[in-house]
Amino acid sequence: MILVYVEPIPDLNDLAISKSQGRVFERGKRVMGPATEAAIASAVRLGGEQLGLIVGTDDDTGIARRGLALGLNRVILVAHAEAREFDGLVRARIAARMIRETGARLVLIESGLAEVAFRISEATGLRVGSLSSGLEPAILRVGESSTRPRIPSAIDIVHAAKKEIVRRSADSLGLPADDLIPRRVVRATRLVQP
Amino acid sequence: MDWTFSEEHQMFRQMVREFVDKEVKPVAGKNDREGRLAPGLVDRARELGLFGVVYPEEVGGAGLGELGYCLMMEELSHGCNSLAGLIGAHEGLGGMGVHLFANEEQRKRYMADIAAGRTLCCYALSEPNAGSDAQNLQTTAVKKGDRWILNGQKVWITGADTAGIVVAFAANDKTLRAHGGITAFIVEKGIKGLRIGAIDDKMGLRAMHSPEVFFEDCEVPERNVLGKVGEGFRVAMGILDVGRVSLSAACIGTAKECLDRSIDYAQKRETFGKAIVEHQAVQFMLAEMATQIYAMESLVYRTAWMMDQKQKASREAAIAKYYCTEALGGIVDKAIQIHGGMGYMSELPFERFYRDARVNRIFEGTNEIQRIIIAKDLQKKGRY
Repeated sequence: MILVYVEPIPDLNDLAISKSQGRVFERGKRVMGPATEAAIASAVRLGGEQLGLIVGTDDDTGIARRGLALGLNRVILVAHAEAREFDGLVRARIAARMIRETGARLVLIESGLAEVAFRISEATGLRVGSLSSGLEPAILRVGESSTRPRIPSAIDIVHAAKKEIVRRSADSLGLPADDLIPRRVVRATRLVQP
Repeated sequence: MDWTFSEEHQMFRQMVREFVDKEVKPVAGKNDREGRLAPGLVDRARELGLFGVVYPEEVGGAGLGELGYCLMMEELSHGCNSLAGLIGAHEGLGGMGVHLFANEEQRKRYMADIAAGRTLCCYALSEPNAGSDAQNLQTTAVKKGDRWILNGQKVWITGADTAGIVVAFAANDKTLRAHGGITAFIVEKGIKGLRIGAIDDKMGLRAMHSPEVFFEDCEVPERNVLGKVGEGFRVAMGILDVGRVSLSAACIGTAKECLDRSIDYAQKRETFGKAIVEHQAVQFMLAEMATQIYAMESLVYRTAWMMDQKQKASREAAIAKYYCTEALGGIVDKAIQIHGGMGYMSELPFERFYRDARVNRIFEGTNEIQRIIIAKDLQKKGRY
């Protein structure tokens, strides 16, 4: 089984910019990034059973449907109300748990998520690479240009809407509560124009 | 009252938008200049299932209903109105006739190929002397044994050059006109006596062809009568209700493209030391465009929803067609005005949109006919 790690990202076409506050605000739901779409396209090309794993919120069902329309056989959405605040370590812990639970041998993850990839590797013992000569157990980092994602057809979309999205609560995975607390600390510094 | 589109519809809209942005917009200008759709474009639309969006899943369509169909037409028309028109002629007119009025045997014979876009359809009603006066058909249908013999000429038949099926209307009794005198037929390409004329040059929608169709002792089997003998006018008008709403949806796409580009340009272009969006004259034009687009969206999607609920919506379809096609003309005009000299140049899409938009007030029933439909319905009901 191939597991594609899907990270919900802000929709860059739907951001609000506040010049006075110097901040960018998300307005809409999150979306799937192009490199993750390429990872799904790679998984579909490899064949076999392809599973998508989303660590997100209950609002991320649209991303799950998108993954199904792009060809994933099934999708597990591990939801948590604070998932948008999760750092790479928390995401990797959840992913590692799901990799063990599902028995996935090959994990595809977009190349921009290096932290998540290496932390999954640390937790599971799977090696990280960007090339594979076969289906040996590994984590493969996939770039946006690796495989051109196809546009799903109308029928793909309709079929995706009928497939079940497996929902799991992050709290029900049996991870210690402490594992779901982000360690990343963000310090904001305002620079004054000279 | 829930005005949000389903997740399925939103995903579908996104898919068509992606197709248009990546594969349609880059070739739309060339399509217009060369008078043909880029090679492979129709095949791509077919692969994506765009020729069967409105048809139910049982026959191989996507089952996304009139709402889905209108969303597709809106998105396609951000890019290329000729491609939208070709798909519309198949899905909303010719194929829709078979979908709505075919008997069980005909549905089994044709619908799978129609929904998959393997067989394209066109709709042949207009004649040199029967445009708005659609009852005045001169094409005749005479029964001879187990066949009908068709003779006559049809004009401006969109998609006739690529269609595998011509849904044609002919007079079985000229004296009866709409009341039992017109019959609809499924005429397969390749049948003896069916001839497609040359491609006429025209003002807009240049990559979508609308040639003449000639019936010369054309022998159509009895089993290819669509609906009942003499009820062809009802068939023709029933099909047009659907076509009018999707045409209105196409107007929204082009209108939004004009507005979005105008906002972007107005924020960047400077005159008298400030961006032209700061000038009230430009602000008013943008505001008027947005107001009309909001009205267009409201009309189209409400009417499409009514159709999906199987509610009668002939008057609403006529209102949508009348309003949206008139509004689009003004919106494209304003977009050109905001862009100034650049708006007039072929480098930008507005002059193409301007030419494409004009026919919307003429085909699928002129806007004068739409007002007659609306007024007659008001007269009949005696109230709004």
